[in-house]
Amino acid sequence: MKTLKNNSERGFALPLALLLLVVMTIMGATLVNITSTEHNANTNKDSNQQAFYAAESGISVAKSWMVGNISKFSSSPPNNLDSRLRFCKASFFPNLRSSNNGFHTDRKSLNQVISASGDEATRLGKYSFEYFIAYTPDQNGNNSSGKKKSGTNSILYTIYSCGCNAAANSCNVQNNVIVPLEAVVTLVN
Amino acid sequence: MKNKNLGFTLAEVLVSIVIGIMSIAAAFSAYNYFNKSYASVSQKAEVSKSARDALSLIARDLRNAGHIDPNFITSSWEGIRSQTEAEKRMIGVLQKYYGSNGTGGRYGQADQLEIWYTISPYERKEVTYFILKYRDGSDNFFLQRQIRIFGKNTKTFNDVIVSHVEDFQVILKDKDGNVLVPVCTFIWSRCGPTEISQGSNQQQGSMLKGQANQKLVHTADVYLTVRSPKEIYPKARRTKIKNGENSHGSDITIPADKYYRETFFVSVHTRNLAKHVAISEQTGTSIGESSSYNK
Repeated sequence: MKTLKNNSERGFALPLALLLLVVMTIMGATLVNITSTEHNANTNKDSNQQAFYAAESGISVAKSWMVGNISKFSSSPPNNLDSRLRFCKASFFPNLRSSNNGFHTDRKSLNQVISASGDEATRLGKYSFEYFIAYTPDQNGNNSSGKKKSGTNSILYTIYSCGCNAAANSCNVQNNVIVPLEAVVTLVN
Repeated sequence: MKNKNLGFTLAEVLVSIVIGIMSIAAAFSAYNYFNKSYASVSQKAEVSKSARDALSLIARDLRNAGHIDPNFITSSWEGIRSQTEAEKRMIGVLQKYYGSNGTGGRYGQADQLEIWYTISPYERKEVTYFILKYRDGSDNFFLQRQIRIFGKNTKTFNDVIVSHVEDFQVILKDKDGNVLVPVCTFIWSRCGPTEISQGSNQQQGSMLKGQANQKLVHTADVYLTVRSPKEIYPKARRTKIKNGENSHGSDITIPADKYYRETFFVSVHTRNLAKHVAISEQTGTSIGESSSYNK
């Protein structure tokens, strides 16, 4: 047995195999890493896109509310909506100072406005919008009074809508993707 | 018996050599396989990442195209001198923008897209997308995003947004899905008479019609074909690119090579151009002038 211990010809297969194993593990891990980064980027983009569509739905829901509630614009003055806004904050809109002078706000998950069932309803339930309607602000962001469209007698209103990749009552500014969108509209008789 | 452990028999040596060679070969081919798929996956990821980022930027600009802030402050510069002047500059596509510096791309069929919108009551932004050739002598083309902001101070920025671009097509459609040609801004040298239809080398379109068409744009289809920076296929293969409908899109045949190519597509509703009116049946009241802006 002593002679065996003194044998200087040790095998090289084991170190080689270990080296290759390490190299391939690193490459495999990099591949997984690239794929998962790409996957995440795609998922993010998808969330963003869906949130954008949710914000657009918010604008069209707000428009139909406006058409159905025209009298409210002349009968009731605008009020402070801050406490009622959950995730659609005025600070998202650089041309607006505050939501102090809003007329109406509402938030809904998409499954409340689009009729669907099963998986589709579950998926729609994960997206929501919140909007508020106010006078269109002037160039300083003030919107305490109505501004008229140039050359006409129609008052300009702005619909501020935010899309979110969470349900209406669980969406929050810290953890979710929020896409702000605005639309300037007038009421024409 | 004393020397029993000193050596190996010939058979043992041969068997160990065979086993050794087999395991080394297996390890080597596995390494090779990993290396190739690593190269291919990283190149594909590179292509899709750069194209995805570029398309979201283009989509955002297209959504904003034609937005004029209701409070915008007119200035002496003609593009924002009045509402009417501003409305002459909203969106324009120059088909087959074939000029110097490689505009038009490697195959001479790429378009140029020009978009205008106000970013604040004081400033109007012009964004132009077109292909250029690198000036370092390499045979590579990139998509340039040129920004000019007109207002109190005029600012210009140039960004390379995607490298290794093969084709860039923009097709504008009205609300019924018909292709609008030409669509152009008031910068008349870029419009009408200089527009060239594919294959014919004929000038087409009228500038006035092109300007009027700006307000009819409802959808913009954007095609972006990107090539991998490095060769990834073991064998050369031929590629054919057809982006968009005939006569306004592209039709490119690329000789066999080992590059990977992918076309990315996005169809964007231009929210500020073709305006729709929501009407309530009960009251006969409608919502008008829907000009909107996406942050």
